[in-house]
Amino acid sequence: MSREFLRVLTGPAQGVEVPLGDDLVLGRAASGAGALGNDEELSRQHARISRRDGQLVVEDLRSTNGTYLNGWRIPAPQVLNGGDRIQVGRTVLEVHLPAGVSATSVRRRPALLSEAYRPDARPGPPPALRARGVRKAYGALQVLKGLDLELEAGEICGLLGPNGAGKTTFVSIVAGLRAADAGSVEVNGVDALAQPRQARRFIGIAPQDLGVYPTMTVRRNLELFGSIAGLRGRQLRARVEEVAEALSLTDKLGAKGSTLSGGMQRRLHTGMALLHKPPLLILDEPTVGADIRTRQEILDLVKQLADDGHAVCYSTHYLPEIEELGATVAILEGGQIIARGSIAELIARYARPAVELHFDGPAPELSLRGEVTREASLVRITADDPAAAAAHAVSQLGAHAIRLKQVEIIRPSLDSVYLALTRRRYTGVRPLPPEVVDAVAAPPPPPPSVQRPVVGA
Amino acid sequence: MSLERTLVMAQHNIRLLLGDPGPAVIFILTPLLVMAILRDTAEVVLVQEGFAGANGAEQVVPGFTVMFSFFWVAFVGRTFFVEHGWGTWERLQSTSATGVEVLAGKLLPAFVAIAFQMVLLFVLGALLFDLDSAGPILALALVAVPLIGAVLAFTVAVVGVVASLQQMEAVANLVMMLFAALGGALTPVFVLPTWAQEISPATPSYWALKASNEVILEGEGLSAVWGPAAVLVLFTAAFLLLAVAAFRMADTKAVA
Repeated sequence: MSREFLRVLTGPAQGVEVPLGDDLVLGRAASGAGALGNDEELSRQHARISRRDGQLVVEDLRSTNGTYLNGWRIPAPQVLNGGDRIQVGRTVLEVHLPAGVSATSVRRRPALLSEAYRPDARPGPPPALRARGVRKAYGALQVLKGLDLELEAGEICGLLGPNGAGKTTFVSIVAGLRAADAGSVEVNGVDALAQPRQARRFIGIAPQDLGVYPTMTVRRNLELFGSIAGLRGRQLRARVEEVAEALSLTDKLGAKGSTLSGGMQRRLHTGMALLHKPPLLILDEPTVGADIRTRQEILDLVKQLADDGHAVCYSTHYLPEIEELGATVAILEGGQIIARGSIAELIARYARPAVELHFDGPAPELSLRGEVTREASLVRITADDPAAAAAHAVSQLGAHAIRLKQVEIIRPSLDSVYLALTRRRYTGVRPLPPEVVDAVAAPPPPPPSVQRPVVGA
Repeated sequence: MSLERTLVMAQHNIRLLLGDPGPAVIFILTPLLVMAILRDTAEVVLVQEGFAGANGAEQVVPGFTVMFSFFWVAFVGRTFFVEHGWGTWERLQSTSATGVEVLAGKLLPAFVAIAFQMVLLFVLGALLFDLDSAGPILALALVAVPLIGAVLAFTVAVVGVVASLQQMEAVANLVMMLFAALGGALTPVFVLPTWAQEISPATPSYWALKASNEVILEGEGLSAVWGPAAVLVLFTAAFLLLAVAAFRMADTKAVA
C-alpha cells in the first residue's frame, strides 16, 4: 500500500486512518479528515501537517496543550518520518509513509524549519514505560534505591517482589500519585514526574484493593471511568459493552456493585482501568480473591490486551500466572530490580533445581552433599539431581527422620529463579527479620543452636 | 482544569446523592418541624423586643435554615470517608481527573442542594408559617451564596484536619450546634447572655442572621446586606485557607 496516512492510536477517534494531503489541520473543530472528535484536551485547531519541499512537516497552531512528537513538545515545525508519533491532546497518531520514504530517504532541511531540530537526537517510538534510577524514602526507610524498568508496547511484565519491596510505591510514582526523590519516569514518552496528569492519560491502573461504587450499577461504574477518560456518547456506550463482554459482565451491567460476588467485583474493578485503552496497564494483584473462572478470564484478557499492543505491568504473588502469561519478569528486591528478562532467560541464567526438607522443629545439622542452606525448620539442598540429593539426605537423617514433615523438589522454574536470587521461596510476603525467625523456630529452653542460613558443602 | 470532566464528576456525585436521598429529606422536614414547635416562642420574644407585628416566623425560618445548612458539613464530609471506604477515592486519583476537578465535582452538587434547601425552607416558611418580610427578601441571596461557600469550605477543612469519620462527625456536630446557638439561629442574639453576645460575631451564622433580620424585620434592602455578605466572604476565605493547608487528596482516612 503506497499511501501516506496517520493512524489514530488513542483518543476519541481511535482506529481511524487520516489520509495525508498537502495540508491537514488537526483539531477538535478542524474540518474534514483532521477533525479528531470530542477530545477535550484538543484545541479547536491544534496542529497542522503540511508539505514543504516534498517533506511532511508538523507544526503546532498555538494550541493550549501543545503538540508532541515522539514524546517531545515541539517548539517549532518538525519534519515527519514513518513511525513517528504525534500527540495532540489525548490523541496519539502514528505516521505511516509509503515504503521507501523513511528517515534515511527523506531529505531534511532542519535549519529552515527549526533551530531546535536535531535529527540524530530524535528518539524512536517511546516505550510504554521507562523508569530510570527511581529513588524513594519514607523518612529513614529507603524503599526504592535506584529502580530501573522499561516496558515496550505489547509486553507483559510480571513485577515480583514480597510485600514491602516497593511495588506499590513504584506504581504510585508511575501514576503520579507520589513524588520520587530522584530518577525519571516516562509513560509513553511523557515525563510522569513533571506532567503526572498528562502521563495518567496513558495509564490504566487497577490497584490491589477493590475500588468500585457499590451503590451504582456496573454500567455506571464503567461509564464514569470512561467519561473521566474523555469518552462520550455512542463511543462510550460501545466501549462499556466491549469491556463488559470481555470480562463476562454483560449480564450484570444493570446490577449494582454491591450485589456482585467478589469475583465479579474484581472483574469490574479491572474493567474500569481498560475503558480508555491505555497504552500502559498496571494491574496490582488482579486475581486476589478471584475464583478460578475469574482468574482465567483476567489472564486471558491480559494476554489479549498485550496482543493488542498494550504494555501490561502485572504484579502478583502467584508465579504460575506469570508463567501462564508468558510474561517477562522483573524481580524487585531491596528497592531495586535484581533480575529482568524472559522466564526462559532467567531460568537459564539463575535457576538450579533444589530439594527442601521441612522438619517439625529446628532443622538438624546434617552432613550433606551439594549447596546446603539451613533456615529455621528447613534444610534446602541445591543440586543438579534433586531426587538423588533428597534420597541421600533422607538416608542421613537418623533419629531426626521422625521429625521430617515434608520433602519438596523444586524444578527449574520462576520459583527456583527467585530462590536462587534471594535464597527465599516466593511467597509474596516479606521475610521476617532473623531474630524473629529464630525466636519463632526456637523451642522452649534449652535453646538449640539454630543458625541463620548458611551456604556450604 | 477541565470543565467537562468537572461536570462528569458533578453528575456522578448527584447520582450518589440521589442514591441516598434520606438525609436530604430529613434536612427539609426536621427544620420545618422545629419551626412549628418554636414559632410561638419566637413570636413572644420578638413582640417583647418591639416587633409588634411579628409572628415568630421571622426568627425561626431564617434561624433554622441557617442552622440546618451546617448539617451539610457532616453529610458532605461523610461522602469523602465513604469513598475512602469503597476504595474509589484512591481509584479516582489514578485517573486523569485532577484533585480540583474531583473536589469541585463533589462540592458543586452540594452547593446546589444547600441552595435548594434554603429556598424551599423559605417558601414553605411563607406558606406554612406566614413568613412576611418587611424588606426585599431576594436581597438575602447575597448572603446565601457566601454562607454556602463557607459551609463547603469548612467541610473540606474539617475533612482535611480529622483522621476518621467519627472525628469528622463529632467536630461537625459540635461546630454546627455552637454556630447555631451563638449565631442566633436558636434564639435571637439579643436574648443571649452578654458574654455570648460578645462572641456571636465570630460565627458565620451571626452574620447571615444579621442580614436576614435587617431585611425581614427592619425592612432594609441590599444596602444592609452588603456588610454581612462581605464578612461571610471573609469566613469562606478563612475556611478555604484552612482547607488548603489541611486537605490532601492523597491522605488516607479511617472509616471505622
